[in-house]
This record gives sequence, structure tokens and C-alpha cells, in this order.
Amino acid sequence: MLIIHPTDVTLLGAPLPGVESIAVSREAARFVFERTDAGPHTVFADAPEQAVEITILRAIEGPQPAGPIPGQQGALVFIGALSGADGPARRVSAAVVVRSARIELSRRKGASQRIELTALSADGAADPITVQEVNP
Amino acid sequence: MSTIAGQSLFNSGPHRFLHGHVGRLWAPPLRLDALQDRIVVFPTNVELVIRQSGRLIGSSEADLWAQVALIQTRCQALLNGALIDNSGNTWTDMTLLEFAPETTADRGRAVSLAYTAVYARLL
Repeated sequence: MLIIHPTDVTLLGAPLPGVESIAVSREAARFVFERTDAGPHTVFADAPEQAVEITILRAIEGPQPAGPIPGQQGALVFIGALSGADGPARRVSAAVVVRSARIELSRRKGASQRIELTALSADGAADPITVQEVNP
Repeated sequence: MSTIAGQSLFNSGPHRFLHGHVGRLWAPPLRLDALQDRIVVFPTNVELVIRQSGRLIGSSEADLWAQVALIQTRCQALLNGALIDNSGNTWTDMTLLEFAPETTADRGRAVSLAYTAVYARLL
């Protein structure tokens, strides 16, 4: 899931201005597969351990207070459109833990911040990302 | 499809069969013992052992543990009979001796449990 120019972004209870994009990626932290004696091909595969990683990219203008600290836990909430079409806006929320918050400098783009988060599930089975339609 | 004693205990998921060593037990020469300066071969044959490794797949959490409970019961009762593997190879007079989960149960798209089982032809 990639959201360009989300609005009303809050992280750990504080507004987060200048967010250009939020990417939600999923990967298998552990992957299992099985074969049989009948041939070489995999007959069963599953991802019993998964990780949902969120990357926030935002522009920075001027001095910044200390950013989120790795290990901090809280909520990420934002509003964005999940497609480029004129679909309804969605409110996306997740409980997250901060993995890293890096400030990157470039002559061409200026200063930007890259925040990486891991999303938490409430009970291990529920999806860590909640998406709700926002009524206009 | 494999069966042991005509019972289909493991067919909810894929599994494979590995033959253990057969023949005779033997001991190498002992360097410090002049009395045993050659290979000693013991007089009886090694019992045939077949190891099965695979994964049970449940349609639900309860279904998976019901399969495990049934296998445990059969194992503790030393279920004995012909073992027929997925290719139709048959070994007669095999006993289901052991069933052991390899890891915790996996809960992804499906609820599954990797395991090993051991059969032996007891002499």
C-alpha cells in the first residue's frame, strides 16, 4: 500500500507535518514449504510469521526537535486515498513501534526524514492495519 | 496417500519417508585393546526403522489438534500393521513408535504442524 500526500498525519500522538508518502509493506518473517516423495515441486507453502513495515517520508523545513526514538510505541493515524482515482478517502490507523528515524540531506531535495515503523497486531491474529472509509 | 495398519492418519498434509540403516550392528577395532583388533559384528540384524516427516494441516485449530490427539492415541497403543507410503511401497509388520511435533504450530493462511514420526519393525 502506497499513499501519496496523506493528510492529518499523527504519530505517537503528535502531528507530523510535511509527509510526502507512507508505504505499508508486508513480508514473511518466516516462510514454510513442503514437498512430497512424488516430485521436485513445492506442494504447500505458508507464511506463519509476518511483519508489516511502514515507511514515512517527509520533507523538513528548518530546525527540528528530536524525532521519534527507536523502540517508542504509539499510534500512527492518517487520511489518504488508496488509489489515484477519485475514490473515497480512507482513515488508516495502526499501533506502531519506531524502528528508525533518519534525517537525510541532499543538495537537490534539501532535508528530509525517513521514519521506519513496525505495526503491531492487537492479538496476533488481527491485521495490524485498520482502514476505514471517511464520510465526506 | 499413505496408511499405517489401514489407517489414514497423516494425509491432511504432505509427508515423506526416510529409510533408516539396515544390516548388522558392528564395532570398530579398539586400538588399545589387543583382544579386539578387528571389526566385531553383532549376531542380530538391525530392526528396520522408517522415519516420516511432514506437516499436518487443519481446517481449523480444533481439527488440527483432533488429528494430533488421534495420532498420539495410536502411537501410545503401538499401532501395528502394514505401512504403505505415498508411492504404494509396502512394509509389513511396522509399529508406530513415535510422533513428535518439530516446532510450534504454524498459524498463517492455514493452521499446520510440522512433525516427524518413527516406525520400526520390532524383532
